This record gives sequence, C-alpha cells and structure tokens, in this order.
Amino acid sequence: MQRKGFLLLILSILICHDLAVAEAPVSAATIPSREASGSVTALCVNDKAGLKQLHKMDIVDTLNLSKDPLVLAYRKTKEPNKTAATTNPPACTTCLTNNLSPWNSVRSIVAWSKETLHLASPAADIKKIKKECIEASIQRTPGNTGYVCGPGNAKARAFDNAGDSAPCLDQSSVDYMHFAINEALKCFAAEFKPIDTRFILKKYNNETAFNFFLSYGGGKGLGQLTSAPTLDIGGGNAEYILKDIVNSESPACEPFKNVAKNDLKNGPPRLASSANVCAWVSPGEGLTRNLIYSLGYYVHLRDKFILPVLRRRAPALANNSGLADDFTLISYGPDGLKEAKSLMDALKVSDKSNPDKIRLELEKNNDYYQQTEQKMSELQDFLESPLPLKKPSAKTKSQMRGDTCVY
Amino acid sequence: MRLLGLIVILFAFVPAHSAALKSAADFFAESKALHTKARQEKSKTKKYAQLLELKKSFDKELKLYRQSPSQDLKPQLAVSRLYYAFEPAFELTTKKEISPKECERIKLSVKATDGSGKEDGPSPESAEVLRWLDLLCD
Repeated sequence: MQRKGFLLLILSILICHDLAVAEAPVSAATIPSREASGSVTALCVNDKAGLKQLHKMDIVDTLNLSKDPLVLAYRKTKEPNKTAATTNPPACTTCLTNNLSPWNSVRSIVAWSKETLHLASPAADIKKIKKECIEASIQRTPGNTGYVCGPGNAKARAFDNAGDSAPCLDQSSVDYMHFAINEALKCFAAEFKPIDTRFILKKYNNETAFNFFLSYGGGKGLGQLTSAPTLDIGGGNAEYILKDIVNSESPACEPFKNVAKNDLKNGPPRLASSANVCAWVSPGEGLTRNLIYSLGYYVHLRDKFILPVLRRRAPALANNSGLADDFTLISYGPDGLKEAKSLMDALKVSDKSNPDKIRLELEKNNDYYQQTEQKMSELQDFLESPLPLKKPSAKTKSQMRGDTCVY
Repeated sequence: MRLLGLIVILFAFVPAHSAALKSAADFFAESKALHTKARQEKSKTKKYAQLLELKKSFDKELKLYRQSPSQDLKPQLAVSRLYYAFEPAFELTTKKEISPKECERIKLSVKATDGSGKEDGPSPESAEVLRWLDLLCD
C-alpha cells in the first residue's frame, strides 16, 4: 500500500497535467440577453415555485464565460479525481505544465505538502454555509438594479432586478456561490480570527439575498459595499487585510490573491464610478473583490473596534457569548460603529448581562438588526417551502441564530 | 415658614435627572458654537480646549442618562451616537503632535466606520466630527 502511494506520488510529480479548462469563446461586445428555452421551472433555483416566471440566463452565461481565478478554482472542484490532495494523486495546483526540470518537481512536492498540511489545520475546520440556505435566500427578489458583466472589455448592462426581469440562477450558479463564499471564509480563517459563518449568512441574506450582481446608490455587490470602507482597506487603516491575503500560504486564499495584489498596487477601483461597476459585481473578479472587502471590513470592525471595547466592558462575555458578532453586524449597518458603541453603553453591557436579553434589546432598539432578523425568518420560511406560507411557523432560537444553516 | 423649609428640603432631594436632559440637537448646537470659538483660537492647545469643553459636557450628560430610570433609550442613544462619533477627535487631543498623514487616516476611519450608505456624504454625526478634524488637523 505504501509502495503504491509512493509510486503514485512519483508519477504525479513526473507527469504534470495541464489543468486549464477548455476555453469558451470570449465576447468583446456587450453581452446579449438570452432567454431560456423550454421549461424553466426546474432550471431556475431562485424560482423553485415558478411564480416569478424567470427566464433570463444572462448571469449564468457570464459566469460560464468567466476565466477568473475564483471561477477556475470552482470548476476544478467539479473535475473528477482532481480534488483530494491526501489520498489521490495530488492535484498539481502549482505545476509548471511544460517544464519538467527537477526543481519544479521539488517545488511541486513542497506545494503538495503545504496543501495537505493546510487541510489538517484548525483553520480548515471553519463552518460552511449550507447550499440549501443560499437557495432559500435567493427565493426572495430584493429588487434594485442588477448588472450583467461580460468578460474582458464587454460593457456592463443594467437591468431591473424585479419581476420577470430578474435573472434565472441555475444550479451551477448557486453551486459556484456556495463554493466562493465558503472558500473566502476558509481563506480568512487561515489569516484572522475565524468569522462566525452564521453572521455572514445573515448579513448577505439581509443585504442582497445573495444577488451578487446588484449595484445601486446604497451599495455594490454581495456585501453592498460603499466607498470609504473600500478605501480604508485598499491603502488605509485596514490595508493589512489585503497584505495578509497576498502573503497567505493557505490554498483557499489563492483565488483571491490576484485581486488583492492588484488593489495593493493600484488601489481599489473607484466604487462611485459607474465605469467600475463590474469590478465589484461581476461573477468572477467582482465577486472575488466583494468577498475580500466585505469579509475584510467585517474582520477589521470586529478586531480593531468591537472586541477591544467589549473586552474592556465585559471580558468574559466578549470571549464566550458571541455578542461581539452581534455588535459587529450592527457596526456594519447604516448607523455604523457609533451605533454599536452607543448600544453597548445604553444597554449597560457587562459580564453580568444576559446575552439573550441583550439580543432582544438590540432587536428592539436597532432597525438594521431587526431587519436582519426579519430576513432570517423569511429565509427559514423558504426552507420550509418555496411557496409563500399561509401561516409561517414559529422559529426556534437555533433557526434564528442560523445554526441550522451551517455545517 | 416651617412648611416652606420642608418644601425646600424635599426639592433638594429630587433627582437632578427629572429635569429634561440635553438632546442630540442640543449637542449639535453646542458643538457648532464651540467650533466657532475654536476657529478663532490661534494655538492648537486652545482649539483642543474648546473640544474638551464639549467632551466634558457630553460626559456629564451621559452620566445622567445612565442613571435615568427611563425605559425609552432613543434620546440617550441619539446623544451617545454623537459622542462615539466624536471619539476619534477626543483621542486626537491627547496627542502632542500629529502628522498630516495620520490626520488623513483618522478622517478616513471616521468616514469608513460611519456606516452611511450615501455616496455623497457621511451621516450628520460624522460630518460634524469631520468639521472638527479639519480644524484640528490644520
């Protein structure tokens, strides 16, 4: 058995396969709109009940055309026998395809070892968002304006994300989102204190119902980013986020490095400019960037502001109760950090406080928190049934916390 | 006379917070007035002194809010929000020297943590703080 493993190892080092995906034709012009033919009821995962009559395949098409690192990383997971790095012949993630010199063989062994060790590390244990919960979230149509972004220099096309103008999202697009978000969480867990996945689910569910292509005055993309936080990360007080991703040894961070490197060098694409919309909302580069910045700013707010204040007021509560994430969620909302701090003060948060009572008060006194909870309840309704429920059932604390949506 | 004395003693023990506490609007007005005074000062120390007057006023009022038995937190939250928006400016007054670069970082942090979704400007609280930072960083 050991000899077999050794032989497989030698074989994989000597023969590096080209892992490039067969290229799809690139359109340099505006992406034309395509409508699905035939029955779409089963096709559109964001319209399981068939009530919205969705048929526009634009977002799916642009995803299929994308060759961005995050999309390529996702496609690799779909290729048979090329995923497990521990028992199968290792996937040559850093292979130099045409150069079989001994040094490249050594580099491949080192890269494979790092990949294997990473899989065994604690950061790899971070909880993932369940796919069915993303599917439940996208049953809702959050409205506003969406953008179709083609590859290369294709011009972005705006559309009304409502009624039957909203795009159909098929299973592959949901699978991709599921992969992308969880990979980003894994990357961040390798470099920073792991984010509580349930709060990211709640946040994205509330902000955009995972409609990553949205862009309007209130914010751009999956995390509804605005200018100032992006500038803070891309050259300001939170620049360490990008640097740590670039320098990360975690394979989960690889698909995010190009964007991080580019933004460290050139600054982030100016968010307020309509010419840059795709840099924040396209399925490839846009989603990559949006994940880096939205998760990055969450970590920055939590670690540099919320936790220090909470630890001073209530050291035991700060470390054990998860309240830091509740206050971080509020600080990410429209009233910002000042709101989170004022609530901590007004609610007299201390180690004597009951965390559940604090959460009830947060819901009572903060509109954004209340809205997040309301949207979480709607997500749970859609998990029960894609059709609107005549009488929504009472939700358990576990459901509302998001426990049932992570694994 | 005795009755009058008794009434005086009774009122002496009536809690101070039963009088109306200063609102967020009151503090905005106070900030604007102190900012005008600070603009006329030449030295940084004297400008800081005006801001520290505002801080003293906040500290006094928030202490009363915290002691208040009122169940309605909205007025306290509005004042607190403004106070915590000012925190970076209050911290600035503890530094002897501050470089223009550091000042820009502080202003960026105020805008970034403001939370306001509006691309054309921050919230009124952060806008007021940025006015002070422009003055103190000059």
